Amino acid sequence: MQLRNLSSGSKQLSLFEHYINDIVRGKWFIAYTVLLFALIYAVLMFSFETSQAVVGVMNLVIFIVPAVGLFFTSMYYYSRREFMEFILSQPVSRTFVYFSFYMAMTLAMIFSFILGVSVPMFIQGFIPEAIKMSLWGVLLNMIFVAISLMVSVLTDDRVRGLGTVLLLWFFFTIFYDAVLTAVIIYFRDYPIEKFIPFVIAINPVDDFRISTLLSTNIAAMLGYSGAVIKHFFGRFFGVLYVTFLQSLWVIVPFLVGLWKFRKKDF
Amino acid sequence: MLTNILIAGTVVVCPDCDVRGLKQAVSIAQPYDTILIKEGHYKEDSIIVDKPGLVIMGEGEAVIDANQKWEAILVIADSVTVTGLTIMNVPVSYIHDHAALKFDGVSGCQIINNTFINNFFAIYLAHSEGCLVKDNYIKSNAKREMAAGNGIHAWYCHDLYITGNTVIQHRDGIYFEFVDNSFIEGNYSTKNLRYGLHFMFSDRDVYSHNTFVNNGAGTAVMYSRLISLYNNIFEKNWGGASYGILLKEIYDCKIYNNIFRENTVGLYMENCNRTPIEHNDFIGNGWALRVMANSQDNLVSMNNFIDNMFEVATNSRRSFNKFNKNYWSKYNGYDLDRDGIGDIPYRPVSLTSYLIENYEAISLMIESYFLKLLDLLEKIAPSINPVGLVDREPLMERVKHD
Repeated sequence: MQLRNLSSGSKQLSLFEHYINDIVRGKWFIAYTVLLFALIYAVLMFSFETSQAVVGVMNLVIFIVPAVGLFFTSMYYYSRREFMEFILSQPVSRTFVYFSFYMAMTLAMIFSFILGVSVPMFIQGFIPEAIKMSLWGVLLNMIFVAISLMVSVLTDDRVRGLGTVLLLWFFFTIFYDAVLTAVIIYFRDYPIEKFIPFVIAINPVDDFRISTLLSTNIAAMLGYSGAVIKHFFGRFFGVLYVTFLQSLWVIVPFLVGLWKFRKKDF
Repeated sequence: MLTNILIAGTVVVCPDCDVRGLKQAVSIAQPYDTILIKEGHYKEDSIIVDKPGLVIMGEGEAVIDANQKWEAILVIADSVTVTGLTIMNVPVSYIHDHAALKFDGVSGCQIINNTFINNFFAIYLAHSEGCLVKDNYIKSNAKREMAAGNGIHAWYCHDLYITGNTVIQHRDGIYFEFVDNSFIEGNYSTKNLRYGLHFMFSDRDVYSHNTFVNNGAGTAVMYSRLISLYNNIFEKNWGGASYGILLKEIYDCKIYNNIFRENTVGLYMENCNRTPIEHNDFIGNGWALRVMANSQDNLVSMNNFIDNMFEVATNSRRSFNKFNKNYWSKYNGYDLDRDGIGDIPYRPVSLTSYLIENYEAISLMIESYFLKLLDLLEKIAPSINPVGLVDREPLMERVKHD
């Protein structure tokens, strides 16, 4: 059935179609979307004011989106390995197989993010917040799918691959902040406030968290450092720096994965 | 002709009368006369009231408009009453403290039921005593702190009674410096650029039943002794340097039955000593209490701490204050003997609160999963909390204040 699609018409497009159909119809994907929708809806329902609602959604997003982006991509890659080997025996370019896989996965994740996060926010009337949240959702999903795909391509062993992905998730959500906190405590005698925005902006999860907090009334609690980082993010240079870093998080893993995928001996 | 106007010691001012302005009326009035200002728009400034006992009374919409020229009324005689007037458009000055109504070196003045619109300073009391400021409505349109004056400003005064006034959008709503033995009661102060209430070097004053909402920096009380603050509401003073109330160099005061709601910092104490803080409600603040280590011998008891992001912050590992019998909504101990007091002591300064207070940049980690993990670890192993501040008898139920 899928092979007939592949052998006729635009091969790349039909491969992409095949992947996206396969992902979106999978029970994991549906379960994830429904669960995300339910959680976000519940958070919004039990929040009394906008700030509280936005922070609640942000809390869920920084926990779930990197995790699902990383694990789902890896698991799907490993489960479809045989099919991929079979496809590669056909006259198709490896770059396009890789690209189709990445695009299908990213779009599927973004699709579920829109359904699970943006739609409940729209329904509950948080419209500007929903738009901002959607943009971050697109970016975070692009980043974590790229990273996960790179790890999966680089690691043949499924267990090692998933283990690496688990460590990466831990790194982005907890360990990076822990190290930074240790640095702040260790260098307490130095004027590190100016240097912190540059470092904290490296982690996309922190970027998302801080930019969300700065738009809520919690901004007032971030004190002097908050003011410094708000100034930093508010300037053209800051926006450029953050955009550049986030693009690197998408482009570098994507290209490393692609390079390995092209010369890989399946 | 003069005899016609001066019936029963009353001078009538109206746009069509012989006496067409307050300045003229004061010049012909005898001490203890009444000046009745009829409805009308009077463009006057630099009015000096120098006769004692005058009652200046506005009728209907009696408006004195300084027209951005100079200050409106300066009173230098005792026992003058100003009532029912509207005074507006006193200009901003960077050299002179222009006020709509200034009293200098007088006693026994009364300012009742006036309206002040768009003035630099509204009511200004200097070197005065025994004044009543009651039920005035004071509103300005200040945008910048540098170019704004205070709503009710008192300097070197004593025995004032300030009650029932509303102050909106001045620099400081109510400002006291060197004002002793005074009552501030039932005032409403909001949207002021800096403090809703600001007083310094003012001893033995009583502040009660006031409401301070949404002021730039909340309220500040400094260098004062023997103050009583009770039944006040401090609400929605939110911002990087906003405090429900900031206490600095305070001795032997009493703070009770107040409500601190949704402030960045509910109560900030720096060198605040021997002050009992009892029966207050701290609800939904960023920090309910911030106690600096130079505050000593205060008693924090019978307060409700509900849904604050951080309950207490302190920059010291030791505690020099007594915390006892408060209700903490984050407390999750048990009460086996059913006496209403939790069996496990409660440490209101969480590890994260301690870290943020001492290493300011860690505040950037607020709402991160790392700090959540630290909170969780602290619940499992409370010994990692370095701070000695403990409530040994935390209450199980919210305190019902009388």
